Amino acid sequence: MKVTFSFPTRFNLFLTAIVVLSGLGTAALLTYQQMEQRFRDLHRQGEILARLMARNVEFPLYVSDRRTARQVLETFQDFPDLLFVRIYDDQCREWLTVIYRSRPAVRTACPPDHPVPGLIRWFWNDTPLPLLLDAPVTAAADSGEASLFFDEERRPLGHVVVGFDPTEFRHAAHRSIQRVLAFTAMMIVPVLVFSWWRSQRLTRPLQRLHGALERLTQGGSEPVTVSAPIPEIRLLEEKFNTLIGWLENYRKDLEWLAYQDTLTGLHNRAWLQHNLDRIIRETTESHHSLGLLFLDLDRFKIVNDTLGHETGDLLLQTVADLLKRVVRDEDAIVRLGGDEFLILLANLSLIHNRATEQASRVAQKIVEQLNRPLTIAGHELMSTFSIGIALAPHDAQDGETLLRYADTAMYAAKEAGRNTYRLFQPHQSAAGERRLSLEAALRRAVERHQLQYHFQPQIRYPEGTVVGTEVLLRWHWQGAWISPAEFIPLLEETGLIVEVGEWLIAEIIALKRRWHRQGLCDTGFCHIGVNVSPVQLWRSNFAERILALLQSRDDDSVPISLELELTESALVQPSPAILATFTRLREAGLRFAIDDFGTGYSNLAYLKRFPLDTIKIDQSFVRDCIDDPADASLITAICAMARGLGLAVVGEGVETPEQAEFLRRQGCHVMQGYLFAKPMPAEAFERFLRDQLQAVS
Amino acid sequence: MACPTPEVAVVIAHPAAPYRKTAQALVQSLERQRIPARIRPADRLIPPLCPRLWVAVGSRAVAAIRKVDPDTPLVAVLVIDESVIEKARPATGVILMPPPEHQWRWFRRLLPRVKTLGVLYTPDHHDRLQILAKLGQRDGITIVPIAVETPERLAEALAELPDSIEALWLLGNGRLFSATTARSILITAFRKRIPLIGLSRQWVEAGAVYAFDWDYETLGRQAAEQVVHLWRHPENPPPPVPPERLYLTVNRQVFRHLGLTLPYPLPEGTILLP
Repeated sequence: MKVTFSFPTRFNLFLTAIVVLSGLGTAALLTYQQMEQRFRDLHRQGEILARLMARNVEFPLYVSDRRTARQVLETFQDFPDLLFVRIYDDQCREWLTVIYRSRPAVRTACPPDHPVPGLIRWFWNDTPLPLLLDAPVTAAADSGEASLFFDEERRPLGHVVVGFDPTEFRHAAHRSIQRVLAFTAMMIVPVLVFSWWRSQRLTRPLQRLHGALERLTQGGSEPVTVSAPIPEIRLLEEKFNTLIGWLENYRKDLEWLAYQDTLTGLHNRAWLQHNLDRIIRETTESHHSLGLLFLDLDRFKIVNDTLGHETGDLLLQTVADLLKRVVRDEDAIVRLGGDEFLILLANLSLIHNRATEQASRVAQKIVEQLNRPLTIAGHELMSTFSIGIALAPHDAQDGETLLRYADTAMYAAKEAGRNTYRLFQPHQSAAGERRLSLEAALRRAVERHQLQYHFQPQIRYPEGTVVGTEVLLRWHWQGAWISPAEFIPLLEETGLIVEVGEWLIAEIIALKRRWHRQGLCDTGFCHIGVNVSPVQLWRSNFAERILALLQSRDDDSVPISLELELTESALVQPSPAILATFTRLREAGLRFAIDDFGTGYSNLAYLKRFPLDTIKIDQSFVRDCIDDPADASLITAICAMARGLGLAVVGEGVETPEQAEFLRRQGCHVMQGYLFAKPMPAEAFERFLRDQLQAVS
Repeated sequence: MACPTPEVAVVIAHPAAPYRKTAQALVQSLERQRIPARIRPADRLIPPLCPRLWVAVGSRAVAAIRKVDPDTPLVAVLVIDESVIEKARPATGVILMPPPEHQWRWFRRLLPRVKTLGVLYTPDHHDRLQILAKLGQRDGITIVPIAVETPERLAEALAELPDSIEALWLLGNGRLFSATTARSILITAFRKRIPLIGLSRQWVEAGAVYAFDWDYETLGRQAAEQVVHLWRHPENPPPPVPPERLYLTVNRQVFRHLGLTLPYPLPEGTILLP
């Protein structure tokens, strides 16, 4: 296991090691120097003693007087550590030995050869040898008158060898070492206490800085005050606090960037994800309700695609400013992205009914505020919201569920005709879930080309000949046919309609070529109507894609005669780009029809501006034209208008002969409906065409 | 190989101050007489050496010269007594030992109360002992002769010094009375509280009560006179001469220690120690 020490501990341990090593080193050095000095002194004393003895025994040795020599030498009895003295004559014969202290016999050499041992080796020897020192004994030469002056040469007379006992020296050295070690230990304690105190003073500010750094890494940004006695650390503190200020500013900037929608200045999705649960919790804890309003700008995509993104952005900014004026300061507005907004209504009543009223009041206010034309970049736009409302903690207690419920309620509002609001109801949840399931299944179906298309013939009345057909998308899922009213909007919302539309046109081109080869078009059947969603039409490359499909056919001698059926809403914003699309496609031989005419946008100016070919009267007018004079009048007016504009007219949803006859009388000779044929698969339609051929022939 | 120009070769036995002073005084005197002289150390007498005359400063120089040249006349200086010169003939010189009578006079003057005088002597100084005996008899002083034949007998002799003696006189050669034996002799005298008459200034410095000291320049001049005489009359060498000038060296501390009183006035040039 790896042990990690704090900085002060490491510092103190390091200092302790330094002090101990220094102390021991100094102690060892001092002890060694002291021992060496003592050893030198001992050696020097021994030399002096040996010379003194040599001087004193000079005469006795000269005159061979052992008794006197012994008397002289015995006077050194009390000399410390002196073991023995041995005298050799000039022939190296042992002349006299005086033993001062009992000691095992020691070998001495003559001529003297007693090298001075090294201190360490001598000191640590297990059986310490005596220190042996020698001095020559000399006598004056027999030189006549020179003896008078005492300057005569001297001749060797013998040697004195003195032995010293090292025991006391060793004991003294041991005591010295112990004293030095004890002194060192005593010195270490105050040094360590001082070092600990000092290191605390030094490191406490650093620890505070470290703590501040820790807090900083955990999101804290409080400045730190370390009160350090050291200028460098004070400077560090100052710089640290400056850095914290910078980081705080950066953090705020980053937070703003991360949590703000740069277009509208509102909170963004990240802010919502970061705060929604907290806000719900705090609201609940304060015994209030939270109202979550999910707003979707109706038909914003149309504005964006027809008037451009800049106009769309301006619309979003205008709407955001409007929302800011509607809500209270304590409420929060979030732009989720695109045309989706959220409003968090804080501190609503905890009582469910009252909270519902409060939230509804705000939603209604928003609807009313937006339910009037807005002037954006010179355009007068009608912009409405579909609003879904969910309440916490009544509907859900967590942000994710609450948001999903508000979204579900918003779809309910859309289904209710848009420009309104809906409170979340549990059954909406089931509908929302079905919608999600449908969306996933639809994606798979598109990927696997599992969508089907049926043909409903268009009949010239009363002749009964087939003049064209409308292609209708069909989807069979989980053993049932899904209504186009349910899956077509899904295709548009998900953008899959673009892919499906192109696929469908490619299929039709192939079929038309086959039918042409089979002669099925010989009866006068000429065009195939294909529904085009506004989402497709408003794409800038729509014309380009359609033309590419037409050019990809193998045999371009076969006339395709496509008729693109548009709803009135697709033409609500006549932009130069859409006009250019119309022009290019018409030049390629394509026709344009207005589908469900009379149910959409009331401004008929587009009939003049767009190069249309056909008007298809909505089946709702046809259905009641016999019984409802208003519908009959409308049909009459539409047919008259079409004649005036030079447009062909097709009656849709014709189910009875009376309806067909009425339409004929109004000048509408091409009809479509169950009276003539239901929508049918391609094979059935082929048989229908063959039957028509046989009938004609 | 031909000899260089004949000269006076001055051979010095020892580099100590007395030898150097004497030799320098000698050479200076010869230079004044225009006699060429050259100083050589005794241990470097390397042939060919053919001086007209040898001068030996110290007894070892005498021995060294006679070892290489036994025939050329020689003047010895700084030798103790005539015995050295006798052994080196043809030779003359200046001896260190003053005449016993001269020494006796100063003994009597400095230690007038001494009635029993012990004399440590070697047999080769028997003649001088006889002279001292006669002088003692004349002045009523008992001479106690203590013969010591070898240094080995000295310790015994010192141990057996009669208690009656009141001062100790030394008559001997350098082998008996050397730096080695001086310490014991002086210690014995000190312990027995006997005034020891030293042989030189160094003896007085070591504890003898008094001794004569020599004027080495005078010794050199005296030797130069002998050289000049021999230079001019080699066939008629002069007899050895004693030193003309002596200084008295007195150890006042020893005097006081022994309870003696210095006689005043002391001779001019007396050296008082310490």
